[in-house]
Amino acid sequence: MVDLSYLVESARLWFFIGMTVIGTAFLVTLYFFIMYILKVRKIRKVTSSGGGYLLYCDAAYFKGKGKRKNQEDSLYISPIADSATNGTIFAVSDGMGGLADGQVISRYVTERLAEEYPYSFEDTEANAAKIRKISDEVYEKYRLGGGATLAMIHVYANAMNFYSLGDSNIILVRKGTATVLNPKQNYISYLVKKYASAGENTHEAYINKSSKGLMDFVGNLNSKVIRTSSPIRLMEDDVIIICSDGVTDAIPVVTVPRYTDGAATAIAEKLKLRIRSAKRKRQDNYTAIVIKMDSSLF
Amino acid sequence: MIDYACFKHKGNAENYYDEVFVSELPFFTAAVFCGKEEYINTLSCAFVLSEVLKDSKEGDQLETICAALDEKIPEDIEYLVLRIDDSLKVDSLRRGQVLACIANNGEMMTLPNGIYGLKEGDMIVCSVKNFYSNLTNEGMLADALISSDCNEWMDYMVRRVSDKTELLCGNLSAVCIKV
Repeated sequence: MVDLSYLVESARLWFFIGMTVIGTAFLVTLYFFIMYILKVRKIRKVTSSGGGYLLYCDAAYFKGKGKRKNQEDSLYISPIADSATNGTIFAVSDGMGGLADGQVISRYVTERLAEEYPYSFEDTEANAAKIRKISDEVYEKYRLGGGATLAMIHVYANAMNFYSLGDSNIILVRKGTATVLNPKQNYISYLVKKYASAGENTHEAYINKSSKGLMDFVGNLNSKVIRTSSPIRLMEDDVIIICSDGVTDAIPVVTVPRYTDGAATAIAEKLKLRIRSAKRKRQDNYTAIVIKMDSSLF
Repeated sequence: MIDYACFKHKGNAENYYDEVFVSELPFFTAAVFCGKEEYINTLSCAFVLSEVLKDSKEGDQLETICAALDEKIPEDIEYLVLRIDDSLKVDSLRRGQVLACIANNGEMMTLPNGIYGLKEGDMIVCSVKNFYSNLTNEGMLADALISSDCNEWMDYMVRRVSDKTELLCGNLSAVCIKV
């Protein structure tokens, strides 16, 4: 007689191991599924409108060379036709003055942003990783000899995420008040922290000649991309202006709301006229995308 | 687990008169007192609050605690006290112009007096008028959403106040809390 008890015991063991593996895989899948549902629900809660209607983006842009030889700013707007499914990306990149190939780099940044489209609205870290990758590519080529800034927003339904590297601006005008949403990654931040923690005032941080130097930008290795971890709710009549510093050098941010009546094209016209009429001797390149959130096409 | 960061700065005043109080046990309790020069030699409000909390019973409402506090501190001291319990409910009480704002569902709103339900990831900032009057709700919200912790959030807000005032605007006091 052949003793089959060993085989039976072995089969039992393998059956037990198999069931444990399947059970664990099931539980892990269930966990990730529940986490995904919870995250999507959280995003949907912000993107859904309280009043039951969706806002749409009325957008316009303008750019000018100022007194510079070249236009070193570049912009990107994702296909508006896809906005219902992927949202819309608006981005401005400003080549860093004084460094090589600012024009080439800013254009490279916006072209690469277009290549990486579409972007997830939920996973902002994945989008930041795409931007970091672009920054690393610029670093590989220029080794800190050239760079650009980036200000980018992703509007989906009634909400917005933003991304930023350097010192370009994302300005939100709401109820007559303008707020620059993204912090500038320059040396002033470091100095302000230093003086504030020592209990001193921060006047010195602003008169220091080199304090406007960027600490992070596109072209830095493993740069720290500023990104929102969850979206900002947008309201009707909000105006968002994404612009290079050539715009805010000519128009102080506090005065921006004076120009934000009317449609996006009218706002863009007024801002451009204001910059030109300022006739600044050292007017930098200026580029801006103006987005007005509206509830009706008419 | 509650993450928090405090900011205390005398601004352009001669001394720092405000007070910030944080205690993690038995419940997370934070308070910001807007001090005054004439009370500099009187008993510290933060110390009085800690004594009141020691004497309080576990089930005492925040209102009861604040009533006991009111008896022991000058009438015109403005303050805000908030307490977060284990079930993530925040109970807050404000006297005067010390304010708490909460980042919630993509918006920044003022935290009302009384009990308010929180969820994980909610962020609250309590501050004196000198601090929040130099900020906008949109700015505070954006800073909260880009920050990985409360220290970073506070640094961004201090930068905003500094850009506007160079921190020359009287005593500045704030507490950031992330649930």
